[in-house]
Amino acid sequence: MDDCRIHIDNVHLSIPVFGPGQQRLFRSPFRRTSVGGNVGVRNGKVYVDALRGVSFEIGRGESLALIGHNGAGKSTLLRVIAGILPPTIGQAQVAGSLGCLFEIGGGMSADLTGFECIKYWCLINDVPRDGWPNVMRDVSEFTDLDSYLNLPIRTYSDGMRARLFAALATAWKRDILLIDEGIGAGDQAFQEKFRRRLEQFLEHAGLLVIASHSAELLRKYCTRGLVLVHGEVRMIGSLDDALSSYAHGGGG
Amino acid sequence: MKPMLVRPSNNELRTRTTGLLTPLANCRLWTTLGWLDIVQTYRRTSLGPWWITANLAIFVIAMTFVYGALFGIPTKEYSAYLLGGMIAWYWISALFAEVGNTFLNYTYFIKSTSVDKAQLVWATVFKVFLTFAHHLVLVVVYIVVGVIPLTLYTLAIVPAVALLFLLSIPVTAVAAILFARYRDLQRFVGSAMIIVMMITPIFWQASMMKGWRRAFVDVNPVHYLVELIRQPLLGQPLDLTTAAAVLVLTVLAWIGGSLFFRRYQRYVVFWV
Repeated sequence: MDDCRIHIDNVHLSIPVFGPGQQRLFRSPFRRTSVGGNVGVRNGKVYVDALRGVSFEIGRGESLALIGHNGAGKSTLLRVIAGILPPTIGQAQVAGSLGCLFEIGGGMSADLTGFECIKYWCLINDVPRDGWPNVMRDVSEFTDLDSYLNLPIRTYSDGMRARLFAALATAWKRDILLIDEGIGAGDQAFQEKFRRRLEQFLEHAGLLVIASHSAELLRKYCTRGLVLVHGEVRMIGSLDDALSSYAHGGGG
Repeated sequence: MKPMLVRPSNNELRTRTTGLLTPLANCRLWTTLGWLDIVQTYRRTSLGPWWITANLAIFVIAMTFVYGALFGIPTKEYSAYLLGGMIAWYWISALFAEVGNTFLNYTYFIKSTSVDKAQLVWATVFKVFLTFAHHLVLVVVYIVVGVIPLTLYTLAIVPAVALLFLLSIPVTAVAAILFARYRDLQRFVGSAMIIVMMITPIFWQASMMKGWRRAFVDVNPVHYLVELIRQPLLGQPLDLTTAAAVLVLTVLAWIGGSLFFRRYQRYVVFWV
């Protein structure tokens, strides 16, 4: 097995913003946009500078908590790591296979049945064909959804849906797991199950990155913390240091 | 301090800037995406995608009686000509109707997984191909009732469709990116398609055009695309000019399309 590591090197990310009507000839709602903070205008186009000069490196067996106020860039950073958003400047290098738990629903149409979702997910994530039955068995055992898996996910409750996608994100053996909130859903019993599963995952010396506001949740899984303020890294260190730095900073 | 650079491993950056051709090696994803999309679109209808075929059949029958009489062409001949032309045209118009959705339909995928965008392009073309395959039933009916002869030339439909499929890939890739970025295009192209349909020999025959107006036939790329499919469907030999024209178009489209796609696919995530 080759090494598993995330190396983020001076990553800047500017996201162009398009609003409804912005491109209408005679009306530009952004003309009155207040510029400042992370919002800037270049060449008449509106950008949000979501990340500014972020650098860090973590390796196998480590678990990193991303901490920051709303809009600090936690989710954006996770998506840069996942390779969904391309850095405007800088480099994001990721070695090892990835599992992501971002939006509950993960892009699945609500008309797909639970089993169809699993197949879809296997396809998107390059799970080899002979691994599919394993994933299906694993997910249906783990979620206790049983016969619900034959129904469209439109009929699921939020908790059931969260269970399905949490199970999927961890179903296939991965080196790196990225989690964006989301795991707060599900009942007590499921939370317990999921925690055991994540611990197993970390014992296999995987690498975990979680973005969350819940200190309690982060304490459960993470050893290190990174505090983001307006897209910049304020500090990176042990989880306790990071949490207290965030608390003292008043959230930016 | 100079930042340390890690040597990129074989899967260096997850941002997949793959070529347009890669999905060819991994057929399962785009065929499934295309198939599932059709299944979902028509899940609660009784006829499913046959609705489009039914529309086409009714359209051809109605038009045969009106325009066949206008042009003074024997009903049987005109009906076959119109059916062949319309089936080919449906490929083109369906492609441009779908192309705006290539990425928009999969917004959540694009934003929450690192799905290969080339796969989405192939899925869109595959969807158009599936609809096209439904229409072929009408040709079979025409052959059975004896309106269209079944000849050896009919076999040319296989390479012809393969070629049209290949041409559609880079066209879809470029158009999908542009349509995602500039939302006006969908509106514009939607209305432009009707004009293109009228100025292309689909209702009327190429031989009817004389003088400088031949340009609507000779320099109209859509004409060659329609001919490519229509001739084999009608059991006629495929003429060389048509095949050559489409081949040249395909090569050009691939060169331009892959460069464009390579350059801009990474920005799609900001535009959907």
